[in-house]
Amino acid sequence: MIKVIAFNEIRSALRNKTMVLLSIIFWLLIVVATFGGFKNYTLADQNREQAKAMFRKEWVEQKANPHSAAHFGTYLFKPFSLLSLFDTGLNNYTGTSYRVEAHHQAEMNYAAAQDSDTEMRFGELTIASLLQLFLPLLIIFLCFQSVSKERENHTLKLLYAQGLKPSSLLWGKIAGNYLLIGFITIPAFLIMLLAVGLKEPSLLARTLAFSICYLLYFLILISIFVYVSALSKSSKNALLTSLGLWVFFCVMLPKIVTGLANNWYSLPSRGAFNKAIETGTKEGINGDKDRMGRYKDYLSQTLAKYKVDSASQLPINFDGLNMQNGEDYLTKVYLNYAKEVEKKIEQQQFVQQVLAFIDPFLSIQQLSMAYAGTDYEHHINFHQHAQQYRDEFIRKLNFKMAYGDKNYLKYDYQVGPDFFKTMHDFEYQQPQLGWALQKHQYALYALLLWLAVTLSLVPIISKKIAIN
Amino acid sequence: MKLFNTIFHFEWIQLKRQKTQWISLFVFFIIGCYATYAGHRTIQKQNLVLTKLQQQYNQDHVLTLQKFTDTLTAETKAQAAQAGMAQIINFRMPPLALDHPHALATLSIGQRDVNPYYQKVKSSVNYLDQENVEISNPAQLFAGNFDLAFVLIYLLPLLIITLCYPTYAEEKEQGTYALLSIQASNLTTILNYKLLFRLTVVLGLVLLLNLVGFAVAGQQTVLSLSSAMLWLWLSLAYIAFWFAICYFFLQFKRSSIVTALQLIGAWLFFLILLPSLTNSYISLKHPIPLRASLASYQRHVSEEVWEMKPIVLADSFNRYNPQYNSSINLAKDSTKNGERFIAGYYDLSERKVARFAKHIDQQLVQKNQMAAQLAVINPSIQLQYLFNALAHTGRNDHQNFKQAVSRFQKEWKHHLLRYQLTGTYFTPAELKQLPKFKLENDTNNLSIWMGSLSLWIGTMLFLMLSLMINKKN
Amino acid sequence: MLQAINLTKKYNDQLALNKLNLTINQGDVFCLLGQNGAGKTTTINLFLGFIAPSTGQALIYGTSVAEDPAVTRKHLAYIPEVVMLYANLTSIENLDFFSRLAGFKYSRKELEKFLTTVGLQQEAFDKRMGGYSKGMRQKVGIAIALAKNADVLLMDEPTSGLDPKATNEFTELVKELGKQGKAIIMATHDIFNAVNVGTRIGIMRRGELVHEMSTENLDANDLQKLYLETI
Repeated sequence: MIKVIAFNEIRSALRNKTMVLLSIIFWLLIVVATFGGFKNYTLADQNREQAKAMFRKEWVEQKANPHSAAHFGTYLFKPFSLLSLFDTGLNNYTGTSYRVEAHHQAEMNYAAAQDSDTEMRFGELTIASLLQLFLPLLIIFLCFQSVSKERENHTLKLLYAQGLKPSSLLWGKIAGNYLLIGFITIPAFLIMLLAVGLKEPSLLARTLAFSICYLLYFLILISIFVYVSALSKSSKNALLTSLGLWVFFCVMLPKIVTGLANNWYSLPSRGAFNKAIETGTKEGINGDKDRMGRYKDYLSQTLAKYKVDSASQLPINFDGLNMQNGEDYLTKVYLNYAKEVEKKIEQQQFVQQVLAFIDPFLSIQQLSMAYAGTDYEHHINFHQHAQQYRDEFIRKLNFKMAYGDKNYLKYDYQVGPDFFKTMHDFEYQQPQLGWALQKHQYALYALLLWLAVTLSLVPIISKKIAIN
Repeated sequence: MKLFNTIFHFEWIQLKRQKTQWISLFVFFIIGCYATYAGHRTIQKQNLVLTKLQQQYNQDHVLTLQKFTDTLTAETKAQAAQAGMAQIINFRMPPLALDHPHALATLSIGQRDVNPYYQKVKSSVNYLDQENVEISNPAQLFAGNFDLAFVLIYLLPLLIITLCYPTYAEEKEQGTYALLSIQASNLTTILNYKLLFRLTVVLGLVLLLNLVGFAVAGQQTVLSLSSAMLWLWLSLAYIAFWFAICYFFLQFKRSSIVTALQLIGAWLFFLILLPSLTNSYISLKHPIPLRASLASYQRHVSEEVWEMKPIVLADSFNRYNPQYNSSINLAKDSTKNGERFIAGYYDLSERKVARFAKHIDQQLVQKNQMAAQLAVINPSIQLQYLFNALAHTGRNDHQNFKQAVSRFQKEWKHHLLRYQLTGTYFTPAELKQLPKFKLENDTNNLSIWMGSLSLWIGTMLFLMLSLMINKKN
Repeated sequence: MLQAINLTKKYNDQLALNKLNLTINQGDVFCLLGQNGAGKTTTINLFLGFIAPSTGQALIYGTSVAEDPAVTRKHLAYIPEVVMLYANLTSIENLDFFSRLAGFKYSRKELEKFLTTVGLQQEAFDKRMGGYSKGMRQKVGIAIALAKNADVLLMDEPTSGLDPKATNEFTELVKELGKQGKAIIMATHDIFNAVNVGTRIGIMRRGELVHEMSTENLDANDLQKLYLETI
């Protein structure tokens, strides 16, 4: 019975010209999105690799005083995986480069949004935006009259008279429409898997998870919209209700939720943050002494360690050591305040994750970005790694000042490529799939819960289908 | 006129009795009010940040003045002697450049959440790291603001669609069409009046919502009448555009379901598909430069200039800044780390980097010009542009702020140099008369009026297409 | 008043109406009989101007319907098979609305009088039409037709689905209208009712008017016999 209903559903959809036309449009858009995305991705990747090579070359080929070199510093660039072309996620709103410099803890800089005007807020054409926004409308179009039309044509009575159970009707409708959506989307997923498999086999697991989550999401949507059709008085009402749900959950709620999260966990302003770091390093945080006090303590500690009376008697360059001591304190202060901000943002992210239990769109949106590595978690992960690299980088230079070869005491002390080459380049590896999943576990649970709840509603809804 | 009155009278009776209509109008109104409130909170927070910065600055000012007279210990006594030194003033109380939100920013936050809206101005420019970019959750920026502009641009068309889509088909579907056509001589006029009634309802609702918005927006900053009128005018143009689209699709006289689907298709096209297509096109045509070359250049320039002979550097400085020639001191100027060497170092390296940065800015200007041109073909994006222009929250306004900051930075630099190069110190009295940042922020009403033309052209286009179809039938 | 001259309607190759010639005068109640698809509704729709004739003419007071439907419609009132009105409006409001469209502005008293004439109970005047039975809606439909003060009434199976009492009331009303000098065309399946209410009867088959007769001295049984033979 279910099979017959499903088959009939597919057949009538295939005979519907609009439906076929919409599928073709969808495919064309997928092609455009992929080509555009790929071109952008390769160009950006090329630029990044070139820049990275250039800064490395400049670094290793210099001949400089280690501390001037620390001021000269370098730049780190956030790499994007191939998957970012499927879902650009937050990429336009997160900085792409990180400045490594002495005495200064930088933020991620130069987000595309700052170089663009308001049109960027209307969104980009990506596979994710098509799957998240366009495809649900296709699903609505497929499903809104699935049950209501049977009622309006009075075929519902006939079906029941033939011995069809209401639950089988719903299962058949869901299965038929799901297969149709499968016909339309699975080839796209297969091509994605193939392309990723050829270029970056290590990302196959992420791509697979990406595809599976979307397929689950479509199942949730199809069952919801079939239910709406089953419960609505007329096809017209079913259409309006479905569209209303779509607008509310996909267009309005995401904005409202992030806005609320932003109000609940308010972030400090950049001015206040910078000021806090400035005063923190000057006056000390958490009961530490001020800069002069810390300097005096550190000097006496060092003198005691080497059992000498003055800095000039030290067998090392105390300026180098003290600079590192200052760096360590800057890092302490910076992390102290940065962690507060990160915590607030994590709380905001948590609100989004929890609200995914109310809005499945939020759940797929987060999971999709997580798999593509374009979410906040991946961003902050990169930033943290970059920041740690920066601290190591500066430390090594300061220690070179302090403990370098016999010339270290001279003002014009310089080192060359031999030394700079020993400083390893920044290598960043995106975390594994498991890490990404763990960070978004609630979004994943929400998706699974939605799936379980919607599918288990079949018997309940089937009892409520009006015959007339 | 009689027919007009009859239709309006009975449409009103029908509207009064339809619960779902009321609910949808009411919900829309509530959503609009919430959006205004959300916008108010965002702008209020920005105002608070600016107030705090100003307070902080005033405190720093007081502390700096205290340093002049604090002679308690030997250490502070030494500091007191130096309190008026230009470099110390630059360090202790860098002046503020604040981009205060315009009243309408509450209703159209625009790019104000992305772009920095204040800056502590120092005597030298840091091209390497942006220190004034606001701390924000990128997910929040990605989701975008829920402000009144969003409600008008995205949700208002949906309200118009739900009101208009059944205008023709419902008469057929409820069976009143035949009777209507027999009783009245001109059915088209009746249907047009019905549409006109719905237009009136929408106009009333949007007017009400905008008035609420104005009342809230006017709380924090004074809202000028001309800005408010222009905002209303833009809302009107957009409503007209969407009614024209509805009118166009109603001409096909399809069933209410088909009409609804077509109209939703139009909405999807204008608000999601077309923008994302044009955005992808823009980013392909004008990818955003990485600025790596700029960073690299700046680092090389600073090393190169630092290595220059002091006297050569001083010469170059004097050539560009003849106003300081009276303080030339050849003996002093030929030493490294002398005042003129430092001034010359910053002067020359900034000049060089600025020239290089212009190239990147040029690329961005081209990109954004193209974006603005493409917006003309999409009334929804165009409206956002115009709302932002009116609220001073667009990219242009930010560029305007940045240029003003840049001009002020030069003014500040030279103000300090006058002391620095002559070796004179600020007196406490002089500290009360420091240059202040001013932002010329006139609304270009004419260009907004002109910009609204593209909405009216869109409206006319759809009305003309409707008439053509009407004639064909 | 009403005249059809070689009135023909073709849908592709299908002849829906073939060379109908018919004249209906004041006081005539012309009942059209025939099977589904015989051309009754087509005839009425042609007079209403809802469809255009392929050849021939439908004239009302000498004006061609196809040429100037706005003028001819002024003389017409129409009662469809199922009268559908605005569910959110009461019967008085519906009557008022449609009358105003036709250019008449009646006082409440006058509107009430129309509704009483067609036999609607007083209590129903201010109830919304959403819950009305078909018979009640039909009555409001007739009231609308009366209020338009038209000389010609076109009715498409107005009694189908009405209970016997309502049918009877309706029949009396139509007879009364005929006596007042209106010209009426009524398509129906009800042979007995046709004999009762009509002054003339026409039997149609496959788009042609096969028989036409007066009901004077016509017996319902004879007519039924003729009808069955014809089709």
